[in-house]
Parts: sequence; structure tokens; C-alpha cells
Amino acid sequence: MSSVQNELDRLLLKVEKPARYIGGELHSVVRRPSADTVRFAFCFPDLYEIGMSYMGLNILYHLLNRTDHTYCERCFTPARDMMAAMKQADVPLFTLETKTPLNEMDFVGFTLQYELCYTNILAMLDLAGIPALSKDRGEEDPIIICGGPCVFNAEPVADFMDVILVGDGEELLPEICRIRGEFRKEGRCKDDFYKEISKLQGVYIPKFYEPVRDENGVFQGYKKRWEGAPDRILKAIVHDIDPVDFPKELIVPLIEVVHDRAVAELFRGCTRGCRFCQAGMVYRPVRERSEEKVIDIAKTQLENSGQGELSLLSLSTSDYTRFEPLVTELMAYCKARQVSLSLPSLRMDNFSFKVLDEIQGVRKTGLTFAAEAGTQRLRDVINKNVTEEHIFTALRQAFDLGWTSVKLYFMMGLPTETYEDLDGIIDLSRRIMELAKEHNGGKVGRYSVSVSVSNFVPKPDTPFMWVRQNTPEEFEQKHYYLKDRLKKIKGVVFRYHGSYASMLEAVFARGGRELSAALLRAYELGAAFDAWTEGFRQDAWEQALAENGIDADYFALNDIDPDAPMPWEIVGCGITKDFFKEEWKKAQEAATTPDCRLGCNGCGVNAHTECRWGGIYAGN
Amino acid sequence: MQGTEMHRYLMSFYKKGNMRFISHLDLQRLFKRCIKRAGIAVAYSNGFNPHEKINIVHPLPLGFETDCDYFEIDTENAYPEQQLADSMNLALPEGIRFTFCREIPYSSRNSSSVTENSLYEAFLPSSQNLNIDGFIIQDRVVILKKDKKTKQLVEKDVKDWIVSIFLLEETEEGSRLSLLLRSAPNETLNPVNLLESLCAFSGSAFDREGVRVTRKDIFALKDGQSVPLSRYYE
Repeated sequence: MSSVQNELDRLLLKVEKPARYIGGELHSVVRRPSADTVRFAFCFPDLYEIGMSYMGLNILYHLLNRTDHTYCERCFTPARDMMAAMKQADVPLFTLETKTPLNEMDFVGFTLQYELCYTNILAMLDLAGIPALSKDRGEEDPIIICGGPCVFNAEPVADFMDVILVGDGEELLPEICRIRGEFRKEGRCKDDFYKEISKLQGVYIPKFYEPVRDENGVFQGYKKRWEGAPDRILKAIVHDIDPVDFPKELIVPLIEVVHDRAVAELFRGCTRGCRFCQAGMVYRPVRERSEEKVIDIAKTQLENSGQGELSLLSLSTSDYTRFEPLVTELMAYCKARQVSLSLPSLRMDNFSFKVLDEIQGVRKTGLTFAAEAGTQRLRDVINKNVTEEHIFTALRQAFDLGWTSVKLYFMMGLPTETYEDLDGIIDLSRRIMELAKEHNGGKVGRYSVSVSVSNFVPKPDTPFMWVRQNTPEEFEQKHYYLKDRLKKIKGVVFRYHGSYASMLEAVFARGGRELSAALLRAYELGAAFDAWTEGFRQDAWEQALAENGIDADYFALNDIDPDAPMPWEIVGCGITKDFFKEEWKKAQEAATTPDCRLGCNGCGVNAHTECRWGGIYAGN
Repeated sequence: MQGTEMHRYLMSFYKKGNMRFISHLDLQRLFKRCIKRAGIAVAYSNGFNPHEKINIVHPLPLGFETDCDYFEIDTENAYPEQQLADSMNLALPEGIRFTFCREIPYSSRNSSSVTENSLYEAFLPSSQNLNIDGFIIQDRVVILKKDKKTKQLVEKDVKDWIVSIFLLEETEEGSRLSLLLRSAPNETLNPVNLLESLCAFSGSAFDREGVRVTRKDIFALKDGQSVPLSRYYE
């Protein structure tokens, strides 16, 4: 501990935001572990400010530190200035809690929240002095483990990982740590451990499987390297989240982070079935937490932390069964304590307006609509259940109540999209501004519409996984098309994303193990923090892909035959391939699929668990 | 809020170890959370965006430790002094603690306006044979300071800002100094810039990353005498 700390005293005076690296926050856990303790470094492969806003970290940190066998500490990717300073001073990457070098841990665990963090994993292993490839590591090295939404295709990073956990981690991760502790005590080797845990639902040991390709290099499937390994890995499922211990003492960051607030999870999963949305598919079925638990968690967290903001976490807040009574109670509680309440992804109905009007008072923030597509036809294709009538009814009410700024989110390059759909975006923006002017005596005044477009990325385990992405040129043409026309409408602001990074995202979302060499090379050439616009190294990526013979177009721009074997099919989220095919067929016909709460749509997840909220409004 | 009697408390705190890397703004946020957690009836300003009426008397540069900095809080209720400090301490991370609390007269001006000087102790590794007397009797004591707007290093004469500099100890490891510097509400002299200038003047090595600075206390002028701010309201 002291050796790293001594060096740190010097380093931290040189770098930006040194408090990213000091730990010591309220509710962080500092312990003196015994020789038997299993030591786990929870690594978020991005900056402290990003990683500390991620609730999953707090959940697993809390659950592991509650056990008597494991001590969990944290680590984040140091910013580039700190990376350089650490390399120069030969300081290894360390945990925030006890400043222990990562290579002294039993487990180094990464959460994979987005594809563009993969080079940061390599940066962290490099700074820790841990060999990047699983095959180069020995018995003395830490076990590298990962989880999170990206593991529904973890193949691009599979060669770096010893263990991949698929699905809910609350029960699985502590169990794996417990088994590791016992095996270590008995002096058993890593391979014995991997074989043992591969029996558990949700555990994927990549080295037990070898990709098979035909003479053209086309992926054909996997050959098992160990016969005892399961044929396919089904995600781990926590069947009922209500009894699972949710943290009531969140770590309170000492510096400002992206989301600095108390958080209670309302439910996991989503019943809406938007066809582009991976989270809405892979986290099925919907599992709600009881109203009493949510209120207890929220109040206790606020009391324990002194935070000034409370947020409720879920994929679609308004869908919570007891939404109105819950929000009514929390609103009163927060108001009495000068705490602001933030309710993401609200549906704009009468009750929501009442709530927003009350919690935002006179200082109203923007009103956000995730319309996702510009025409009703395309919204039906993607199964996004928002109509123009919804939007305009809501907006009339919003303008009456004093809102002046509206944010619209769209996705560009969706399957079947044409320029008519882009015209729909322009038309919608124009009509919103006209409505605003009606409310403002014919003038634009303070009223504004912000139009943000993101680029569609086909994701595994969605009905759109087989669909090609637009080329970067197509994206750019569409951006310019919108930009030229939207700038003529007074009061409209237009924002869009870089298209090369979106293409990389698609490559890593749909690619296989052949990408690991390109990842290593890109990191060598200076790529890191690829999710950040500033410092994004397109040149490094182009060179790394070219040198390794990776044709980005092959992964991003191909329409894939749904019957062809895909690398990600080694793991499954419980939804049948037939359901995805059927949804893709319906999408092409612009036919919608109703919310699961209105009746079962037969996705197949209920073969593996009870779907308690499915069909609860059947007959309505 | 209107009509109720306001109370103002002056508290002192230390900030040590890794907590020296917490900036002034982050420290303000930390104290606000602390107040909320402790359930203290802090007063809020009026207006569309009410904020807690608190004041950290003199911002401490990032990277400095302090033995005794000051914090003021206005409350709507009266609190026993010790209890206020204790309840705040319950929610603080290790390395920051309130050590003193005293109710002071409520006024529209805060204590920042009465401060005179700050006392610092600095350790300079690898700096030896410092010519302190020669340095401070110069007609002009010039330091290099980064201009906030242009980001250029500019010369600045800070002779008027220096009250005294003493050598406390010189060993093989380096020199330990005591510095008493003037401090005004909106402008402070960063001791590190001054020490760099002193080392250059003395022809001594200067290890910027190795310098450790601790503020010992902040002083105010009372009846012609310089007293620690904690005793100003006695």
C-alpha cells in the first residue's frame, strides 16, 4: 500500500482531477484482508466520473463486500495524462481502496457497458502489467472476468478473458468468488476451477470453445476443446429481484461525476419490445421491485448520503405498476427535504405532467421525446409505440404549462429508412415550432427544438441483428440533408454523432474472435477512450484493421442470412431465434407487436423463468 | 424563512492526506451533502435557484493540506456549538474533520472580509542554503504567475504580500519554512510560486512535485493585533 501511495503523492500534483485516483469516499470499503480472502478488483473501463455513475458497480460492490469470503475494490481507467505519468514513474495500476496493484488480485473484473470501451480494457491490463491474452497468463496471474450487456457478443474480447458471466450477476458473482476461495485453499489449479464453474448457468469459459471457419474464413460454429463444457450458455436469471439486497449506502463521490445521486431500481427488463433495443430484449422478463422496497431504498439512501437528487432506474419508468402512488409519495418526501427528483424515460400523459410541473416548478428543463423515427411507418417498423398525436397532445399541454424547450431523439439508418422518413423529422420539427409560435403570439422567442440523431447500430439478440448498417458516407449524407433543411427553421438546433465510431461499434457488436488482434494493435497505435469524440484515433483504427486483414464492411455493412451461424450464438438471452425471425418479418411489413403486459407474444423467455408481469393487462 | 431569527456559526476544520486533492468547489459540495445528511436547518438564499448559505472563508489551492481552515454556515435554528460540529463530522470522509465551532453575530458581511494573513508551513525536498533575508529585502520580489486569460507566464511583484518568511529547519532531506502571507478576499499569493522564486534567487534546486504545503491558520486583525480567526469574535 505505502509504496504506491508514496509515488502517488508526487504523481497527483501533476495530473488533472487528482481526486479520481484517491478513493476514500463515504461508504467505500477499506479493509485489511486476510490471506484467505478472495480479492476482487471491479474495473470500469472508462474514467472515474463515468464509472461511478453506473449503478451496477454499487450493487455488486455491496453484495461482494457483504460476504465473508471476498473483498471487492474499485479501479477505473486513468485519463491519458495519468496513464503517461504512471508509466513514466513505473507505478502499476492499483485499486482505489487499498492502493494494491491489480496484479495482486485474485480477480480483475471488467463491466462491458459499450463496445467502444474495449481498448481501455487493454490499457488497464497493460498498466497493471498483466498479460492481455488469456493464453499468456499463468496460475499466479489474476483471473480476468467480465460481464455486462456487451457479453451477448463478447467474442471480440473473448481471447482476453478467462471467464465471461452472462446475465444477472447478483447471485452468480458471489458464488463464483466463494468457489474460487475454496479451490485456492485446496491448492487446486485454475483449470479445475473453470471446469467447476462452467456447470453454473451464465458462466462462459471462452477457451473451452474454438471457432471453426470454412476455407473462406467464414464462421461455421464452435468446436469444444473440453467435452464437459455446455453446448450453449444461457444467461443467469435472478427470478425475483425484490428479495435481492439493493445497496442503501451508495459510495458518495468526492468529485462531480456524471450522475451524482441516490438511485433506486424500479424494475429490470421492458415489455415494450422496441426492435432496435438490446436492453429491452436481453433483460427480459420484466421483474418489478415492490413499492415498499423502492421507497425504503430511496429514503435510506438519501438519509445515508445527503445527496441532493433522487433518480428512479428502469427502462421505462411510467410502466411501473404502482407508478402513481409511488411517485406521489416520493415527491412529497423529496420536496420536504429540498431534494430534486429525476424521472427518466417518462411517458407524457396527464399524470406525468402533473408530476413534472410539480418537481420542476418554475425552472423547467427541456421536455424529451424519443420518437426515434420521423414517420409513423418507420416507427411501426421499429415497434416504437409513439404517435404524432401523442407528441402533439403532450406538447400543447407542455406549452400551456410553461415549457419552452423540446428535445427530440431520432435514430438514423434504421432498416427500411428512406429520405421520406428524414423529411418526417424535418416536418415534425417545423410543426412543433409552429405550435410554439402560436403560443407565443407568432414569435419564436425563447422556444427551441433540439433534434439529436444517433446512428443505428445492429446489436446481437435483437430482431435487427442481421440488418446492415448504413455506410459512414450514407450517414454523412443524411446528416447533411437534415442539417441543410433544419437550419432554415428558426429555433431548431441539430446535433449528430460521428459515423466512423458508429461503424466500429457495429464491427464489435457483430464480430468474432478475429477482432482481438486488431484491438491489441489499435491500442499499441494509441487508441483508447474510443467512446470520446475528443482524442478519437480514427487513423489508428484504420491501420489496425487493415494490418490484421479485417474488413469492417463485412461485419457492419452486410445483410446477414438469419440461418447462418453467428459467433454470438454461443450465449443466449432465453429468447428464441424463431421469435427474432418473426419480429424481423413483421418489421419489414411495418406490423407492430403489442406490449407484453397486454398478452404474451411468445418470445420464449418464460421457458426459463416465470414471467409474472406478462399479460397482467390482458383483456384491457 | 422571513421573520425567523438567523444564526451564524464559524467552524474550523482540517483537511489532510489524500483529501488535499479535493478542490474548493468539491469541498463545498461535500459540506452541502454533509449538512443534508445531518439534517441541519441551513438557511437558503431567496430567488429562483435557492442555494445553501455557507461560506468557506479562504479557498485553499488544490494539493495543500490545512490544519485550520474556516467554514461559516447560516441556520434557521440555534444549535449547541459542539453538537453542530459533531453531527457534521459523522458524514465526513477520513481526512476532513471539524475541530471548532462558535456562534458569531449574524451580519451581511462574512468572515472573508476580515481576514488579514495566512500562515503556511512548507517543506522543500532537495532545497538547501536558501537566502531568505536577501530574497525578501529586494526592492521588488518577483514571481512568475500564469495569467488566467492568456495562459502566459507573467512577472508579478509580490513584495507587499509577504509578511515574513522563516527557516524552521534545514536537513539533508531539504528545508522546512514558515511563511506568513497577506491574503485578501479575491486574491491570494500561492506560496509555491513564491518558493520557486526563492529557490531560483538562492541558486537552489526546486522540486515542484515534491513540495508539501500546509496552511496552519488564518488570521484577522482585532484591536490592532493579529489573532487567529477562531478568536476574532471572542
